[in-house]
Amino acid sequence: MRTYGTNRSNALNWFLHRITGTFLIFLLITHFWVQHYDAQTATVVAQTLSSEQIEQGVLPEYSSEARAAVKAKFGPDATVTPYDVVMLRLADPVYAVLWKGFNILFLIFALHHGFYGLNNILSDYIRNDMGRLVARVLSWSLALVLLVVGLYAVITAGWTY
Amino acid sequence: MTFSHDIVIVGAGGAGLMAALYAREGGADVAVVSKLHPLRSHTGAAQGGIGAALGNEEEDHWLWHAFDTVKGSDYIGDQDAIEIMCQDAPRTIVELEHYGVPFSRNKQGKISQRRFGGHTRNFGEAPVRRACHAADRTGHTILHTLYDQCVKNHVRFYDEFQVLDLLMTPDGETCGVVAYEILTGEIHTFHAKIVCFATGGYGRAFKTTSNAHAGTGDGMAIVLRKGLPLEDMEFVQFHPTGLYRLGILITEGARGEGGILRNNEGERFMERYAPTVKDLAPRDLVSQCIYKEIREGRGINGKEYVHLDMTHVGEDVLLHKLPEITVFSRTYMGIDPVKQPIPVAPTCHYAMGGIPTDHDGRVERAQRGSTVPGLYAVGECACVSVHGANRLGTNSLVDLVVFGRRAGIRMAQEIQDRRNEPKPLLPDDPQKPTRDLLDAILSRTEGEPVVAVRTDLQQTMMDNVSVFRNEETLTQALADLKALRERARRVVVRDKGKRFNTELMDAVEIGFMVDYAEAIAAGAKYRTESRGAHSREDYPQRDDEHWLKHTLFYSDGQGGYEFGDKKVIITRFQPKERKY
Amino acid sequence: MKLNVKVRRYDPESGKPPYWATYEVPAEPMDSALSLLLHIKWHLDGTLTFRKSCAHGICGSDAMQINGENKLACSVLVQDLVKGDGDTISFAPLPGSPVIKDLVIDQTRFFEKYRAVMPWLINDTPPPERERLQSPEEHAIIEDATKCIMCGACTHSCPSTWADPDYLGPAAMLKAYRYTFDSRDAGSAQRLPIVDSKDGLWKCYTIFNCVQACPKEIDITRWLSALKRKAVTAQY
Ligand SMILES: Cc1cc2nc3c(=O)[nH]c(=O)nc-3n(C[C@H](O)[C@H](O)[C@H](O)COP(=O)(O)OP(=O)(O)OC[C@H]3O[C@@H](n4cnc5c(N)ncnc54)[C@H](O)[C@@H]3O)c2cc1C
Ligand code: SF4
Ligand code: FES
Repeated sequence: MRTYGTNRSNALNWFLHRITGTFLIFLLITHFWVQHYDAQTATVVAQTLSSEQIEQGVLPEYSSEARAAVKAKFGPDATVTPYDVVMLRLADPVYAVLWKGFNILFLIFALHHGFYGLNNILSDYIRNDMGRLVARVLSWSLALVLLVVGLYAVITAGWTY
Repeated sequence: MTFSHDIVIVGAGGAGLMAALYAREGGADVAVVSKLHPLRSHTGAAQGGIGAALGNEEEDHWLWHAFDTVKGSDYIGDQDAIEIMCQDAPRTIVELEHYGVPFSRNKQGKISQRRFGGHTRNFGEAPVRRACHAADRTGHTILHTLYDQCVKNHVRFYDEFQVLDLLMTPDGETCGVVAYEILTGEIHTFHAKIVCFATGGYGRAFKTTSNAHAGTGDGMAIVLRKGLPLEDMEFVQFHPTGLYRLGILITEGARGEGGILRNNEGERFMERYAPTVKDLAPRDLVSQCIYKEIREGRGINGKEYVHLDMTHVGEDVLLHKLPEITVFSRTYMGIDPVKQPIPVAPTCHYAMGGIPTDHDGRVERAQRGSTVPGLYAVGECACVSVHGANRLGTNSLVDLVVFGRRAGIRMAQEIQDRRNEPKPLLPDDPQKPTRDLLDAILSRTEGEPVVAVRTDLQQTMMDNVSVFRNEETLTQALADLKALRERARRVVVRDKGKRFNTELMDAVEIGFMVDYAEAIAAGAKYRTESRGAHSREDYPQRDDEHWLKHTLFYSDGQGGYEFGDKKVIITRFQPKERKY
Repeated sequence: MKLNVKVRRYDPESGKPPYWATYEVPAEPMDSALSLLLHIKWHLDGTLTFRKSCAHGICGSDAMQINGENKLACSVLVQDLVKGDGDTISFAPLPGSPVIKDLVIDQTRFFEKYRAVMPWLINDTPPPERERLQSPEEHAIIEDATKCIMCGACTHSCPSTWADPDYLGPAAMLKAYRYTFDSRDAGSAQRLPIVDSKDGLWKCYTIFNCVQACPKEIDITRWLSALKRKAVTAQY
């Protein structure tokens, strides 16, 4: 008879999976709201185009607040792109700490949640213990790399501005 | 192959597992051989409860329990054994609780107890709450807990091995069994110092029964074929409330919780027959009354059933105390017992008779003390006899656990005493008779299928040997059985394979069924009186002068048989007229 | 009415691969599915093989796949499976265990897993003279789980088990729940580490197939979730 259940507890990972899952719901909502809907900070345009305007090749305009903020920061000639708007937010001396903190949390939670799930699937289908170990090491290494890249991106964002 | 163990227990129901557990705890090397996986045993079907004078709900005394059992048995149960059982019951049930059986609880956290047919306070005054239960899954929880404990204690299980023969030395010492491994079709020998049969009941010999398909009385027939007797086989219990036509049991606990039997006029007819306990009269009586109502034209819609009315007890009781039977009625009859009465009719339920044993499960060849070395029997296949002519509800589970426990302890002791002796020698080629039997069936290409013979057997037993019997019906049954014996020898199977050949086992079982059916019918013809579940229309009175005795049935396996008598042991309760 | 009964047949001794056989079987709406199989076995083809015993849903012998769902053959009626005359009912073995023959599966592994979770009451304190007390409320916590008949319908309906045959599965872990949450049990420290492992609880992704399959209508996933919470609190 095979011996069942002879390895370390997995309770912590499972528990974190629930917590990260719950937090991700709120983080995602905030993220979408901030990125796409909030008039102050949204990186997308505020204008809706008619089909005629689209045919004529008219491009949508940013909200006046967003345009004003970008021009105030980068000078009157600055062209406004979504990237600029995000960078603007992350360069703000007051809000940057908040938003960077938010993004780092988001990054860690999403990576843990996703890679824990991925590992479940891998161990469902990979039958031998060695294979499982390899898969686990590889996937968590990948997660680590992504974490480093992500942290680097978040932390350095806005520095050059 | 040959397997070797100190003790081989045949059957893994409540009785077999209880014996195995206690023998194992006593240090013996125990194997349990069962044709079904242990958890599939019919003990799991026991619904209502297990009786013991724990007195958790109201005052109770083991002596009252003993009195009820003696009276229920129509004074033919052995009173020394009954006293042992009723005295041992509370302690045994407490031990079961300690093993983990999840009994239902009362407000104080003690095992909850309820009323059951025939159980009374103060020697018959009024119904008493004595049936310990786990909702209506009592047997199920006991069976599962015992199996869990046996697994814990490393009892060796041989699941889906069907025992077909008992091995004895020329001087009549038990030395093992022969079993057919259903999975592979191989025949194996089990070499042992002690063999214990716990193969359960035989209800499948009747057309309508609450028993499982596996209830084919194998153990009784195997023992009978070794020239050993069966005791009191004429006493067959018909449970009054089986679902109409299906025979699926509606526990007596339903009446314990307030259910009422009604005829087509809506009358609570049990009031007429048993004014004191009414619907909670013992089973033999209630079944006979239902048959009388039906015969006198008061069956529902002129059909052969009456109603069990639960509509007034309330949804709460049905859903919480009787959930299983509520589901059965809904599933199998399309009836909601909360709103409609349940159609019920008597169904063959329990074997009071069986392999005669003493108080420790040791099989006896004739009179008391004539034990067969190394052979034990416990549970429904055995006859101690505590149930006499009619078993009270809840007393079978008590019988299983009390005598299973006693046999287990006794077997471990015997192994200890005989530890320096070698096992008795196996006969030469022990498997030959079994191999010949199976080869004969497998090589036959012409003949009837098993089902034809079995259906006719069930029909004749139901028509002629059920609740009411008389000289004429019994003579008819015996004539039919004679023909059936021949037919059973010539059945043909289509499945010739080795792997999981259940058809082959059906063919062997039909042979067993004819053997013990004959014991039932012949015993019923022999006993010219009415007592308990044995109701002779031509001899309607109990006749203590001639028949206050057990019958022992011996057969030559060819249709020739003879009877022996055994005295009934009476300690405290002198036979009286039985009134409820 | 007459029904077409399709049965997944397989006999390794014959050397033939599994195939579907169809039988025409007379039936009444209130007949159980098991009675259809018995009719075939007894009257049409004695080689058809399946397990059965109690015939009323308490022994757990005859869990199988009926019309694609795991059910007890004895506990489901023809009227709930077909609309009328000439309709088809299919029978196949439970998926996820090796087939021995026709509808009979090899349950060795299923019971190995049951044995692995220490399915017995653990309590080393000497028992009292009388029963150990347990309030009706404490009893109610485990009562649903004690209904389990070990039929295997749940474990063989679980995609986690299909994917990973080492996964203990709902039936075994429900047993673990039944004992761990028994107020009389003191064995959490031994039993929890077994279910709190890569073979255990954490492969339950709350798919709820088991709950749907269980003929005893046990709320399995609910009890397994309670066991998960217990495993977490036991650790931290
Ligand atoms: C529906 C129903 C409800 C009941 N309710 C109650 C109740 O509420 N209270 C009560 O006290 N009693 C009740 N009874 C009676 C009681 O349940 C049975 O008498 C009792 O369970 C029999 O137990 P057993 O251990 O002797 O046999 P079983 O539990 O029938 O077990 C027999 C065992 O023998 C094995 N076996 C048989 N033949 C062979 C063979 N040839 N080779 C190997 N193994 C073999 C089987 O596999 C099985 O394991 C009820 C009975 C029924 C049918
Ligand atoms: S939980 Fe339900 S489906 Fe699973 S084994 Fe138990 S009774 Fe069967
Ligand atoms: S035959 Fe027992 S559960 Fe179906």
